Amino acid sequence: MSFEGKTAIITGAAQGIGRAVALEFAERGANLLLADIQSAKVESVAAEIRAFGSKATATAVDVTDSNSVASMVELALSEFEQVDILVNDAGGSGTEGVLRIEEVSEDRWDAQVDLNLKGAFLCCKAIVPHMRRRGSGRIVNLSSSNAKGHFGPLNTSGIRLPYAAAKAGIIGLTAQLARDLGRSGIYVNCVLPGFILTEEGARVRGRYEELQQASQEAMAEAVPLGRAGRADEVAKAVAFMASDEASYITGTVLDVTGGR
Amino acid sequence: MTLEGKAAIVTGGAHGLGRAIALRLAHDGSDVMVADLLGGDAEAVADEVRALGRRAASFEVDVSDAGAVGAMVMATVEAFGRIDILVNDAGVSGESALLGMEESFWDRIMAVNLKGNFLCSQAVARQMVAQGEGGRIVNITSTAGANARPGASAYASSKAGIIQFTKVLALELGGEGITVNAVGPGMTLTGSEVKPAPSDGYQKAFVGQVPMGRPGAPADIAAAVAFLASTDAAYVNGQVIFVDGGYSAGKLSVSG
Ligand SMILES: NC(=O)c1ccc[n+]([C@@H]2O[C@H](COP(=O)([O-])OP(=O)(O)OC[C@H]3O[C@@H](n4cnc5c(N)ncnc54)[C@H](O)[C@@H]3O)[C@@H](O)[C@H]2O)c1
Ligand SMILES: NC(=O)c1ccc[n+]([C@@H]2O[C@H](COP(=O)([O-])OP(=O)(O)OC[C@H]3O[C@@H](n4cnc5c(N)ncnc54)[C@H](O)[C@@H]3O)[C@@H](O)[C@H]2O)c1
Repeated sequence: MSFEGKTAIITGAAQGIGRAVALEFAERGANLLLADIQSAKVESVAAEIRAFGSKATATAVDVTDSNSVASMVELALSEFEQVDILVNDAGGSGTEGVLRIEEVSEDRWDAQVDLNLKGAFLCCKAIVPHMRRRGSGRIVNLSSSNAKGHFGPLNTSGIRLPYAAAKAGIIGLTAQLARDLGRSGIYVNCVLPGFILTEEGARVRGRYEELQQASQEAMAEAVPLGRAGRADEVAKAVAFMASDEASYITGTVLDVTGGR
Repeated sequence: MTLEGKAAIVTGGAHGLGRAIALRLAHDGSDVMVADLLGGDAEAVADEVRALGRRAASFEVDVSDAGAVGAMVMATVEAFGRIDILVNDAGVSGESALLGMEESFWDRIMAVNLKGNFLCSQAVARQMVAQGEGGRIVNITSTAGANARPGASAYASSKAGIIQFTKVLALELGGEGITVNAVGPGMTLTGSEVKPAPSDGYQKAFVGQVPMGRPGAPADIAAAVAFLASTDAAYVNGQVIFVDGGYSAGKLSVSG
């Protein structure tokens, strides 16, 4: 479905799944505000999209900082006058593997929950008044299969415990906000990726490449479809949930896990 | 066109949601076998598919009859040469509280909704495996499959069974490149000629529990089925999408 005439804010758009969502939305004709803490990298994604003729503006944002989030929304409105879609992608479990609760310091816990849960809350809080006034809007949050708990080695996960808790929190945020906004014309859904191998240089790909071959194979074998997912496959699911095709769907979680 | 060149079977395709699904898949480019207990009505929908410029066929089938299901699969392969998509929509509903329930009532609901799903999935999956190019199975469950209500023990159990059946098949068939997913409609007004609309009182009470504040429409359901049947859902497997206006996200709180 076309996104012609729609404007989307995508956080975490500098790389990985967020970047794939940006490319998918651009292909469908959306105007984009791409936001990320890596300002140079997100600018290069925006430039790539402008090169094939779509409108894309990049901005630096720290989604854990409400002032920074407010500026992001102001910029989107001044550039495009309206925002139809918010994709809360910024997140991740970091690049440092931490398995045992003994090693989860309070600071690390707070940082993970701030990034993966509070960030989505702050972005929703900043955009909902605008969407409410317009009587329409679509919010898509990114959870993770970690939300249900993973058994065994960390594989590509970073600090797994607070990450799992925060990503489970995203499901509750989605269910409650969808219900609270039920009659406002604003839809809130969640996409839950499993094992997704993002592009060269992105975080999950990097961690995957550090694994022994046997671990890499075991990861693929644990997936009923027998392979890792691709970022563009998650992006298509996000696009479905962000489109009018999902006309009667709100408060749901769509797993993109290959059946895992 | 996302389903160009594909061939689909839609059971229960003569009326209601099945008809809307058949027409949506055709709109997206698929050829469609419309299979239904009501063969004449199925043929009328096949005509509507042809009017959209796709190939169509119809087949009179009772999905709870293994022999008839086998014949349906053969007729589809004869018509289109292959099967890429199966939508298990055929279903029957009915209310009966446990204490007064007839055994035959329970058996019929299980036979059509659950065994029918099994028979069609098995026959079509065997064909898909023989073709060697994967496939898509989309089962129609219901919010009743995850939410209890009095009087629905047979129907709700059959629909809960479909959810678990979907998940197990996703594991078994994933390696063959066949994804198996389900769509769970909430209360959806179909204007179906064979199924009475729920009473005004029931509708009002149900919609009162729906955050979006309206019942579903057939196009809402068909769009989710079309997504799951498309390559856009290539890595979605073993999932249930509830198309229910937020009903399953949680019950409205009782204020007081
Ligand atoms: N790749 C997977 O296998 C996988 C699986 C499940 C869930 N997810 C989720 O999908 C989302 C994207 O994952 P990914 O693999 O693309 O991760 P990634 O680390 O490659 O990309 C995340 C992006 O978010 C940005 N970011 C980090 N902190 C930020 C902050 N405070 N403010 C703004 N931007 C910030 C990063 O700079 C980066 O560009 C995350 O929410 C992640 O938890 C990914
Ligand atoms: N309409 C709703 O509100 C709703 C809600 C949740 C789930 N569903 C499910 O969606 C599906 C379609 O429902 P509907 O409302 O369109 O119903 P419907 O009665 O209008 O259509 C069902 C179709 O299935 C056919 N059928 C019945 N038994 C059959 C059999 N043994 N073999 C082959 N075909 C058979 C009927 O002839 C009819 O054409 C069912 O599985 C139903 O349980 C519907």
